[in-house]
Amino acid sequence: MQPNLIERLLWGRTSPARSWLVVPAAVLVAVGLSALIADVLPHANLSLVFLVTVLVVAGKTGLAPALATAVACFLAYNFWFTAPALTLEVHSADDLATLAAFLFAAALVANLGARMRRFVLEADAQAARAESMKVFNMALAVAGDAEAVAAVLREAVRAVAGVDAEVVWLGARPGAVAAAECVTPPPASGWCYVEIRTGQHRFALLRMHRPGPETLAQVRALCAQSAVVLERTRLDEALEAARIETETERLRGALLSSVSHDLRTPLVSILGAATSLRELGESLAPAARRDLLEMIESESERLNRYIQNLLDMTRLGQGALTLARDWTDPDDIIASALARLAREMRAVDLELDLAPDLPLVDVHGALIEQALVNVLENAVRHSPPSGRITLAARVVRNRLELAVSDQGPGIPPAERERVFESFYSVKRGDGESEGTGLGLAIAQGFVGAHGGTVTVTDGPGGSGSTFVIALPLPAVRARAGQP
Amino acid sequence: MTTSARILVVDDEASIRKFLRISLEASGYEVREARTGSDALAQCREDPPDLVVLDLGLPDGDGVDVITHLREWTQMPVLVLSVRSSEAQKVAALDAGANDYLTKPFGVSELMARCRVLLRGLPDVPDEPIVSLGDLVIDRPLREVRLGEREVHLTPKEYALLNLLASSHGKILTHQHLLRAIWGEAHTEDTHYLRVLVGHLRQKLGDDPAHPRYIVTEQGVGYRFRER
Repeated sequence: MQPNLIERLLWGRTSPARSWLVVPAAVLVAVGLSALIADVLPHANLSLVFLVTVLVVAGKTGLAPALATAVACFLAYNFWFTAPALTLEVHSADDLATLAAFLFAAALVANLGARMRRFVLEADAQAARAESMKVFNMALAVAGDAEAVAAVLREAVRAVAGVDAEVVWLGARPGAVAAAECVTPPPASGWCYVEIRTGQHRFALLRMHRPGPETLAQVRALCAQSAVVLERTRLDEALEAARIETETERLRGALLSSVSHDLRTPLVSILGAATSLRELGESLAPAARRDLLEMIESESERLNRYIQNLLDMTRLGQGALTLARDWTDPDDIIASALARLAREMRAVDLELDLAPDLPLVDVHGALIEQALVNVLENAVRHSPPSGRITLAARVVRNRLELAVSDQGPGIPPAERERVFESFYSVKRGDGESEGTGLGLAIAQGFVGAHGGTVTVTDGPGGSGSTFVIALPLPAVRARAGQP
Repeated sequence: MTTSARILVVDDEASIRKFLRISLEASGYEVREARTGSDALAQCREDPPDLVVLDLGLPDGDGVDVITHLREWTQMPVLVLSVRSSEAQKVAALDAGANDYLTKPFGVSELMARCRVLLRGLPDVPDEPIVSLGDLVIDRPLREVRLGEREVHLTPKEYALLNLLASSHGKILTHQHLLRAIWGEAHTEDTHYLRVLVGHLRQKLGDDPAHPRYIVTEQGVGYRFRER
C-alpha cells in the first residue's frame, strides 16, 4: 500500500492552466486502458474505468475540468465501446441505459471529487496557518519591546501575504505620526491599513498593499495578537517607569528632609550666635564672644561642606564627572584632607600609620581628597569624645589602601551595603542624623570613578568600623618612578 | 535678682546648646544642658527647672514623648524648638502640653521674649482684673472692652475669645483649645467657626490681620495675644 502515491494521484495540486491539459490526457489514458481490457470485461463494466478517471481529474483540478472530463468520457465510451462502434449512435436499450447511468454517475463523481478536493485543500491551509501562528506566537513571547514585536509582526505578515508591511506607530512614541494621516488613505492607492489595538489602547497601524479578504483576515488576527503583546510590554514599561518614579520620589523626599535638617542646623547656630552678639554684645564676657564668633566660623564651614556635598552628588548623578588625572603623592592627599578637617580632628585622637615610600597614584587628586575627607568626617562623627581614629596607608596586592578606623558603635553587617546609599544614615533615634547621608555615597562615587572601591568592615579588635578606600595602582609602575 | 530662673536646654546639637547657654546666661538665667530626652527627664525629676527649652528631634526619640512624660506630673513650662516647620508637628507638641514653640532658625531676641513670657506666670491664674494693650482696655469684672475712649460691644463668644487670649499672656492658644473652650468638645474640628469669630473680633477692634496690634495668627496652629 502506498497511500502517499494514491493521495498524490487523487489530491495532488495542479495549477489552473495545466488542469485543462489534464482533461484530454486523462481521457486518452482511459480509452487506452479500456481498449486493453475490453476483451476481458463486458463493455458495460468499462464505464468504471471512465468513472475513476473523472474522479481523479476532479481531485487533481476542480469542478469545471471534472465535468468536462465526464462529458468527454461519455462521448469516448459511446464512440468506441457501445455498438455500433466508432459511431455516436446507440441502438440497444441496454447500452442507452448504461450510457445514461454513466453520465449521471460521472457528473456526480465529478462533483463529489471536486468538493473533497476543496475540503482537503482547506484542511491543509488551516494546518499551515496554525503552524505559522504557533511560530509567530513563540516569536512574540520572547519579544522584549515594541520594536521587537513590530519586527516579528512584519515577518509574519510577509509569510502570510507575501508582501512587505510597515508598522506606523501612533501616540507618544518616537517616530509616531498623527492618527488622522493614516486612517484615511486615498481610496485608489491600493494601500490598506490594519489597526493594531486592544480594547483600550490603539498602538499602531499596519500599512500594506491590499491583500485578498482571506489573507486580510489572517493579517487582522496577527495584528490582534501583536496588540496583546504590545499591551503587555506597555504595562512592563509603565511598571518600570513607576518603579523609577518611586525611587526618584524617595530620593527627592530624602533630599528635602536632608536640606531641611542639615542645611538649617548650622544656620540655627549661626543665626543664634550672630543675634546673640548683636543683642547681648555688651553683657557678654570676652570668652563668650570669642566662642560665638568661632561657632559662626565653624558652622559656616560645615554648611559649606554640606553644600559641596550636594553639588558633588549632583555632578555624580548627572554623570558629568570628568577625571583630571595626574600623578599624585598619597601623602599630599592625606595632608590636605587632614588640614581641611583640622577643627574636627581636635575632638578625637588621630593616629597615622603611613607606610614609607608610597607609590604615586594617577588620580584626580581633589576628588580622592574629598572622598577621604568624607570618610574621615564620618569617622569623627561616630567617634566617642576623644576616641581614637587611625588612618593607615599601604600597598596591598597592587592597590593603594587608605584605611580609616574609628571606635564608634560600628555598623551592623546587614547595613554595610546601605551606608553607601544616598541619604542613608544608620538610625539611632531621630536626632542622630547629624550627617547628610551623602558623604559616603559621594566617597564611593568618586573612588568608583577611578576604578577603586570603598568598603567597610569591623574595626580592629572587632569594635568600631574600618572604611577602606582602595585605588588600583597602574600595572606599569615604572612611570611612577620617573620625574 | 537673688534667685535667677533655671532653664534646662535639651538639644542634641552641641553648637546650639552652646549658643543658647551663652545668650541665656548673659541674660541672667541659670542654664543646664541635656543631650537626650532621658537625660532631660532625669534632670527634671531630680531638680525641676523653671523652664524647659526642648528640641523635638532627639537621639533617643521624639521630643513630644518627653513632653507627654513631663505632663504626667508637672506643669513646668516647656518651649519647643524644632527645625520642622510643619504645622502638624507644632500642634502635636502643643497638644501634648508644650506651652509655646519656636521654629529654627530663630533670633535670640525672639527666644528671650518667649522665655520671658513663659517664666512670667502660669496662664490659669486670672491675676489681672484689667488688661490693657495699647488703646485696648479689657475690664474683666465689668466685662467691658474699650478702645481708647470708645466702648466696643462684643457678643458673648467674641468676649470669651478675647478674654481667653488676653489672659494667656502672649502664649499661643491652639485652634483645638479655643474651640473646646468656646464651643465645647463637639466642635474641636470646626476651625472655620474660629476664623469667622476672629474676623469679627478684629473688625470690631479695628485690627489689621496683616499687621495685627492685638491678635496674632500662627498659621495652621492657633492664635496668640500680642505680647505687652
